Amino acid sequence: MPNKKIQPGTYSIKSLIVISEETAQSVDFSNVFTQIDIFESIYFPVITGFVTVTDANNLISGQNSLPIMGNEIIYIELGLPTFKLYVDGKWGKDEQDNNVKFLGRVTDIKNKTLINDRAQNYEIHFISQEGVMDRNIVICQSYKDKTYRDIIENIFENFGSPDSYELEETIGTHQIIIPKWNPLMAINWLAARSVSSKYNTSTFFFFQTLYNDGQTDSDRKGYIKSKYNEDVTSKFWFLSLDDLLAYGERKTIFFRPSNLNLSGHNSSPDGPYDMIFSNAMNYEVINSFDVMKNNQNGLFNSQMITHDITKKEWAVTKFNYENEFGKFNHLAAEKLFVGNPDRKQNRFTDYEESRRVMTSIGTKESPNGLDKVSLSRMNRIQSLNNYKIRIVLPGDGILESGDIINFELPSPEPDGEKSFDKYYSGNYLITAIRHTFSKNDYKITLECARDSLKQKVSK
Amino acid sequence: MANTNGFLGFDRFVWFQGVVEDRVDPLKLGRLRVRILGLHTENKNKIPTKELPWAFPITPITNAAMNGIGQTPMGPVEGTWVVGFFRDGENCQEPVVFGTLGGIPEKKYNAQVGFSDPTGFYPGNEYLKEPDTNRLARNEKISETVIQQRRDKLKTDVPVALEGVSENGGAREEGDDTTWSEPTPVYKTKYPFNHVTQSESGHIKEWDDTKGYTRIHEYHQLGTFYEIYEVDDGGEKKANKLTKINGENYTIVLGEDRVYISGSCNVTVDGRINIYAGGDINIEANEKATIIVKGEASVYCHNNLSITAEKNIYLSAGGDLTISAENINMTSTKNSTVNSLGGNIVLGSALAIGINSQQNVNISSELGSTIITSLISSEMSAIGSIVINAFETSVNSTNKTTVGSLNDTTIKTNKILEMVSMAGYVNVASTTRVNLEAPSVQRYFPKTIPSKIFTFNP
Repeated sequence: MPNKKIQPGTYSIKSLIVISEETAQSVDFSNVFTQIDIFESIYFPVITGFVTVTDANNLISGQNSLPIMGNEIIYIELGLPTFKLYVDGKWGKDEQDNNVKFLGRVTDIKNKTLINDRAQNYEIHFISQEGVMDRNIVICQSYKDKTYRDIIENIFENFGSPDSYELEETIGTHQIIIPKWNPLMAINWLAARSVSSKYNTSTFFFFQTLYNDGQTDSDRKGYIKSKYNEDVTSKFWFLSLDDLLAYGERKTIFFRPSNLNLSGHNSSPDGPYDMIFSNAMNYEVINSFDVMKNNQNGLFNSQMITHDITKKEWAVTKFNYENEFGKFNHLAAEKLFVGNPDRKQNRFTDYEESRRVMTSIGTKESPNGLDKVSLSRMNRIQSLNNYKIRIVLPGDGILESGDIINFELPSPEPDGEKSFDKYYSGNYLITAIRHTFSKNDYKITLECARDSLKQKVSK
Repeated sequence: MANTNGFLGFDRFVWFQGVVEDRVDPLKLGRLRVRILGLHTENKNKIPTKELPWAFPITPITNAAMNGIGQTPMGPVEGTWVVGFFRDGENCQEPVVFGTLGGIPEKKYNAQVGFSDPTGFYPGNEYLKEPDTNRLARNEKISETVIQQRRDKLKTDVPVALEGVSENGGAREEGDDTTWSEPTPVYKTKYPFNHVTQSESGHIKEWDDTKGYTRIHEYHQLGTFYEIYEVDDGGEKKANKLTKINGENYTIVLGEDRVYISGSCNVTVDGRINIYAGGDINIEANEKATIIVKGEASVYCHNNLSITAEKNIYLSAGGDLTISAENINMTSTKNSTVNSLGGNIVLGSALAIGINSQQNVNISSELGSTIITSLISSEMSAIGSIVINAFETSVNSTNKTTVGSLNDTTIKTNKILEMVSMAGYVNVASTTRVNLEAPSVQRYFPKTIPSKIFTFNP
């Protein structure tokens, strides 16, 4: 039977335990914590976080407590807002339990301050177990005739991780040596060179999310090899940007200031619609566009000079945003603005060498394929650095890094012209989430980015 | 500043040290499989030798590295420590090697694990605990080098021409240079002046700059070598050259060849010497020329043979002297003398023998006989007189014997005068007078010949 329904923005603490394997003792912090912050990002491979504690018993170094000295296990189990499965366009009947089970390792205690003679505040910082192990494991292994995806799986299994993982298939086989790199560094390196079998495009991300929203089975089933584990809900993903962008928005998020009255949108419907719509509590535009960085980082144009040391040949590969845009999945239909004409009546896409890179193509035995991935990867990474927003909303137990949301931002225009901002509204990719569990509520802060515009800039 | 991230050459320079484990580059570019210290494990189960990346060799600027021009990039062997860098920087997938590291290895490493010669050959046991620098460069353990091998195999007492005799044919006096010997190697290297290159099989090149003992030495591991070495020739610095061939030598010059030797040249050949010229052979000696043949000697000429001496020619034979020719013409501007001191002189001819003289013809025999014999006819004619004087003179012919002259013909003997014709006539005719003068004159008629045929004109 499902647990009692938990509404968005609320949660239940089920376990917050720090375990010392050395002393075979554990301490329950579930009653003394004031806040739990958990961070996940598609740009960072593991989850990090910290627990803020107000402690009157010196649980971290007292007579009858653990000494927290580092690398203790931290187990967090939370009851998140429940939801119904939405499969094949229909909502399921039963609400689903939505618990978070996360295993991490204590890395540090920071900001330890005395409140009074008996009480103190401090933060217990933690990271995924894989994050700590990554510092101590080195991969020194040659791989021959393996796909990057298979190599990543082999490397990941060095962790012995309890987390499930889903790894998108990549194209081609390769011969490489991982030269005593930490596993996550090796995986990140491989991700930068991988080409999706399904989309034949590059730009991969390897990241960990706090929970699996329950739709994994349905939405990516069939082409992604995955391994599931019931002990924890955190999960690793190795996905291409095109795969992340291949699915529609998971949720529409409105921002409605109290003095703004928008009609036609129910911001808090009952039932399963809780899972479809949310009201943002706040938002912030982190970045709109950066002409300098866009040009510098090859958003609009780039060239790659490749050198073949065996054949003694060189070649130039070009990338033009106008020409290549249609080859990839995007959050919206229209390209980013390529700049107003300059005094030469040129736009940014008219300058072919605004970003130049030069690389080897590898060896005869092991071509690295960078000529096929690098320029588009630069473009797509930079395209996600344009419209970046930060949204705060009630925690819902659904959204994960890598999901797409539709953010509807009212246009702050004079009364009578109420509408949504046509450039800042639209689909965004969640690139990072800060889960904040305070004593009373659960908030998520989404960092989102978009790579395209909903509407073309025109006269 | 432009964004140089990802630009080959602007990235961080990542260099490494490693050990060569394979040099049999399938592309034959001199690439090496290098196990890189700190990045690769010695565990060959994780990184087998055959899966190590091929490291490109950097060659010096003196090398064209194009169309085979310049020095080949092979040098390191399995087990060699190399230094290099990654073309792809921190990606560490594309190594390039630009140098090797010598040392003083103290033990052999397990060939089953990485960072060693997989064959277990290098480093050799005999080189353990000594520098990898060539012994010839260090001047250490020379007794185990090719220098010692050369010392052990010096060629001595090589005879020169005219070993036992002088140019005049007499015995050579003691002290003359009748033999020579291979010079002992002048090896007095001081470190670090000898620049040595040695191949795996043992071929060696030395450029020795040791003061006073400079050398250039190139040695094939089977003992053929040349060495150019410094000598002090009475205060004058010179460089001698020694070439020794342990095998056969071929010199082929497709154009012209010139050899100049300011001093003497001794050529000693234990076997045969064959000199063949498609054209002429010219030998010129400003002084004496001596040819001593201990066996037989032949001069064979397909055409004319001329022997000319502005002075005398001496032909001397311990045995017979035989001159054979189609025609023999001997002409002297003055006298011709044929003396046989101990035997006869026989002039024989299958046809006629003509002795012609503008003046007198004298055939004389002091003690023996003067015999003129012809199967057809014997003719002696002279514008002047023909005189045959001998203790015994016999003119015989099986056909016709004619002795005649335009003046007087005198056949005179102090003992017996015989004129015999076995088949024809004996004619003694003269327009003036026939003088047969002998103590007794006998007419002899063979019984088978009718006497009437005989005519006698007193």
